[in-house]
Amino acid sequence: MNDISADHPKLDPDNALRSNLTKHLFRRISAHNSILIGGGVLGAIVLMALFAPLLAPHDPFSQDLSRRLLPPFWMEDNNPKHILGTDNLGRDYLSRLIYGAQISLMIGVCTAIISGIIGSALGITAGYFGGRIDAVITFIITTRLSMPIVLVALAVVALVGGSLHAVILVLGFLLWDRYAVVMRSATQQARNMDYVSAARAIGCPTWRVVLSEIFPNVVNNLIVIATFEVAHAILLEASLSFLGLGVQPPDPSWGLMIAEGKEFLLFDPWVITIPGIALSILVLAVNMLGDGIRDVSAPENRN
Amino acid sequence: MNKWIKFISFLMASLFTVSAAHAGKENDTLVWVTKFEPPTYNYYDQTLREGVILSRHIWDSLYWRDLETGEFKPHLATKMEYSNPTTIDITLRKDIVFHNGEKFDADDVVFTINEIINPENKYKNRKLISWAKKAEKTGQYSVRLHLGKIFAPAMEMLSTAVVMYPDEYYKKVGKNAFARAPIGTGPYKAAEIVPGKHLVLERNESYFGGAKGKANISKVLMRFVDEPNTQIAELMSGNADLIWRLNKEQGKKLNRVSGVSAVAGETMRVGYLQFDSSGSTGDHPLKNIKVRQAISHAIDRESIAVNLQGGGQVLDLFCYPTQVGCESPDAPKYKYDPAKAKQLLAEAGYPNGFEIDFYAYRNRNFAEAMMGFMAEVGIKANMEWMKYSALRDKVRKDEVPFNFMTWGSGSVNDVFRITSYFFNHSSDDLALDPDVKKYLDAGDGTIVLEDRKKNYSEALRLIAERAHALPLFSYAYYYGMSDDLDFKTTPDEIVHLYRAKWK
Amino acid sequence: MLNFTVRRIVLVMLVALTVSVIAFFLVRLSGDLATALAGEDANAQEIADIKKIYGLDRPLIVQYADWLLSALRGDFGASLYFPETVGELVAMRLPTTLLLAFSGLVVSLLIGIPFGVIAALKPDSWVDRISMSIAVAGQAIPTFWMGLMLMVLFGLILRLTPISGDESWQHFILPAFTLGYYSTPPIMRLTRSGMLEVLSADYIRTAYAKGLKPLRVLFKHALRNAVIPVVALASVQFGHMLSGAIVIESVFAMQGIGYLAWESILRNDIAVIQAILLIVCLFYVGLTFISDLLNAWLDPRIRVS
Repeated sequence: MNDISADHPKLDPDNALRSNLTKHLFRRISAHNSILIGGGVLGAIVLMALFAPLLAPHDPFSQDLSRRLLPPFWMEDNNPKHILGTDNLGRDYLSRLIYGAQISLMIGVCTAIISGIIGSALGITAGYFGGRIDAVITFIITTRLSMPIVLVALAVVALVGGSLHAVILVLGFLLWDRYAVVMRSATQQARNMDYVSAARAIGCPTWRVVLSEIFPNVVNNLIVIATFEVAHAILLEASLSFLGLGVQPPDPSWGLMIAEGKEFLLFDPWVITIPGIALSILVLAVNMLGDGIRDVSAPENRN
Repeated sequence: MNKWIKFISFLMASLFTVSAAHAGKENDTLVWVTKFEPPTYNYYDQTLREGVILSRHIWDSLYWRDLETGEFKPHLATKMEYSNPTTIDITLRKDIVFHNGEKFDADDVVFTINEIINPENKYKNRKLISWAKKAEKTGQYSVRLHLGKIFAPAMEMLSTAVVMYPDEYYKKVGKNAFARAPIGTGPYKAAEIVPGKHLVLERNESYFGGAKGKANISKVLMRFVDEPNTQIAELMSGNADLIWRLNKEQGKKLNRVSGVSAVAGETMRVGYLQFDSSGSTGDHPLKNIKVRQAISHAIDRESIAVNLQGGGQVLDLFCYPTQVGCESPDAPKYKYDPAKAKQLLAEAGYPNGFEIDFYAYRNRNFAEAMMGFMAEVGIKANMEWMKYSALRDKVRKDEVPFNFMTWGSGSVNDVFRITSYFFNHSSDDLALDPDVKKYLDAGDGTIVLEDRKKNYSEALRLIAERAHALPLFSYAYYYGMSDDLDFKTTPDEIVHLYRAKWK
Repeated sequence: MLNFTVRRIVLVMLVALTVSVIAFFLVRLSGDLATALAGEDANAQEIADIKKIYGLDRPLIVQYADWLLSALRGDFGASLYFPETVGELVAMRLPTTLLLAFSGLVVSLLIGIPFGVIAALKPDSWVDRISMSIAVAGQAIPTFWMGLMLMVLFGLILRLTPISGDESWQHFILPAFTLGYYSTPPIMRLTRSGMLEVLSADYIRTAYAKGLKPLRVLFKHALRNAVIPVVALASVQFGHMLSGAIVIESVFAMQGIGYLAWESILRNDIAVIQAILLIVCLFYVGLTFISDLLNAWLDPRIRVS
């Protein structure tokens, strides 16, 4: 602790410039690294989802009640035909995991798109027009933020019944707050830039100003938030499934597989661990990608 | 280095180690961990299973249905008999005392029954007595019960679910205070109630015994834990002596753990598939009897019961076998036969199957397995998962063509509470079959056992022949218990703790 | 300042009203209340009776108005299931959840701030990377899974902590850690970026240049300023933890308001759900308000602008 000043380049004027450069370079590379790793893993999962029918060794829906809960390859009594074992209904776990990527990605991406549209529309409108409109939208945002999301999602899913569409819509209509908050302030900043004021002064129609001047300026933020919301939605779906109201079988979402594996947690922990790890890797990859994009695109965060 | 690790772990252990488990034989306290805490301990004001179970411990009914023989035995009453088909005369025991010392007599019986029947008093489980019209005091220890109309399972109800409250105490403290300090005559008294935490029952040392017999274990601690894994962890660590509602895998694996074991216990809860055979919900393939028969042949009920549930019996009739009237030797049985199912579908004009919405509210894995079996014969069932109240409501609005639900008959051991209810053209009846209703009405309208059985048998045969509904299997749970505990399960879905003892 | 406060209070009331409307209709539409009240094996007639007895056959809007009027008088009504009034019920359960959320917050601050500071002192070092990865990985693990795993490890195998319940402070260790760990990353990130910013500020350089002891500079000058936004964030996180407690309470069998709300949704106990949603909502709005005040009070720059 005593050598802080020596250790901290900024406090050493002679060294400052050089090490600042190195640091930025390092930072850049590390941001690229996290984009590369995050994007790579995510890309692999996306490919897995897209080519699920080709990759899956078995039909993920074909059940055999006499071959339930066969253990995966690293355990005794495993069956080489089922590398990751079979689930509660005797379906091939690896195939379900591969197909499950489709559902989980769909939930994450669709939710992020829906909430992205709602949130950015509200945020940009509030930020651009300001005044009363801003006040009303701020009120809507505050109301949304003050509602506990898990409880509201549960109540709505209980109301409409759980299905893939229902879960996506419910989460989409609940998770727009972060977009709205960030887009609002980003738009406020962009709005005061000279060229935007100029565009407005020469009488460009509002929609054109927003689309061609404001939007390109805030789109970076949008992408960063979208990645976090993808991760958020996937995790929330798992929590909903845990509490009994998520995606409906037989569609295998990873969240649902985790929830189904809950029963076997104490004695057959692999049932919950396999989709749990898959889900964590997916969320981690998406978050890394988001972090990387943010570090590369937003200079103020680079320090 | 090693010394440090030892020291730190010692420190951690001494800091965090939980005080010795309070469960077990040594201090004669049975710890039962279950999922739901009854929101109120006023038995008639709630419908939760845990509350129903407590009613058998804190209070008593007039007669008592013997758990082994099914025979109705005198308990709080010495005599109960019909003076005509709508009037029951009851004579009470004279030596019964409530936990608080209040004497038990006709006033308590009359008060309890009339208090609960009155709709203005808003008891949620009023249905337990609402079949009666009123109770009348005919002496200090005799009561006359007026039914208003014939109700065949009256004796059954008076021997199980209808328990007696102390009138003076109840009137003094009121409905809500009673809920937190209930008083009864039963084998256990509620000694300590901490809402949101636990309930302590203490043995009623001056219990009269009656048909139930005295409690063996002096203290019961009931704790409420939502998560089954947590319950199992508590049992394995010795903090609980009894848990229930485990699934097959948990039961099987628990049996490999030393110090604890698991047994399957059958219940009278019946799982069933209900078809909208009358077409009340609109036009769909299930209106065709061959399609319904095809589904009945397509599903391997045995395999689900054995492999997934690990207990229970496959049912051929729409009732639980011990229920009075649940027999019909001539009714057809549907064997698992996918080839026949396919053939029936082809005959019905659906050689390539069809698609239908399939509603369910519990046991997702059973529902999923059934969907898998149907898929094998070409029927694509789309699951609609709902919570119970929403689904029940939807069924009654004629919006559900095909559902998988269950019925526990409210622990009433009589087909009146299941078959008669589902096929008497009530809003839960999707078959609306006049022939079936005719026989059921005849069975319900008499108290002569032979006549009842004959008519119910015909009704059950028709239901099976016309495949209005497919009874699946009786439910079974695994109970997990400590090896010190000697406890027998019963099919009434009630945990009779006063029968439990230490080995 | 007064103006700000008044505006905030009006906002809180409007938000509370909107939330109550949404909650009421959401819950009432999600399954028939009378059916839920009557229990699983009730027949249609018994349910019709219940509907009438409880006045559930009146139009929804009338029932809502009824509820609102008594709520304004401070009477949140009776639970449909519990003998206690909703007020008593919530008062009974709230402390558990508050304690849980508070200890969760303490955990996340205890982990988040030190690691954030270390990460900022040695940016891009292995400490920085590892602490960040742990934080990010933590957010990728579903909370219920983590909770159950911790329970198995510490409760069942090592026998160091109780498994479930909320009777003693030991019962709060695992739930608080599970809840707190999940909220650690934002706090760690904010501490780190706040520290980075502060450490490069002129007055810190001056302080070092003047030869003040590095530790003293670090704690007295740098951390104090860097921690301002963290305190504000923490108060908002506290609000999130209140609502996040539902899963944790279910896993660890703690009878707090999160679990109560979940139970009540399942059985449509509208008055209870209403009250809990309102409380969580008021907490949230109140805490944001406090965090704004804190920011203004602790940071003169904000006060001036």
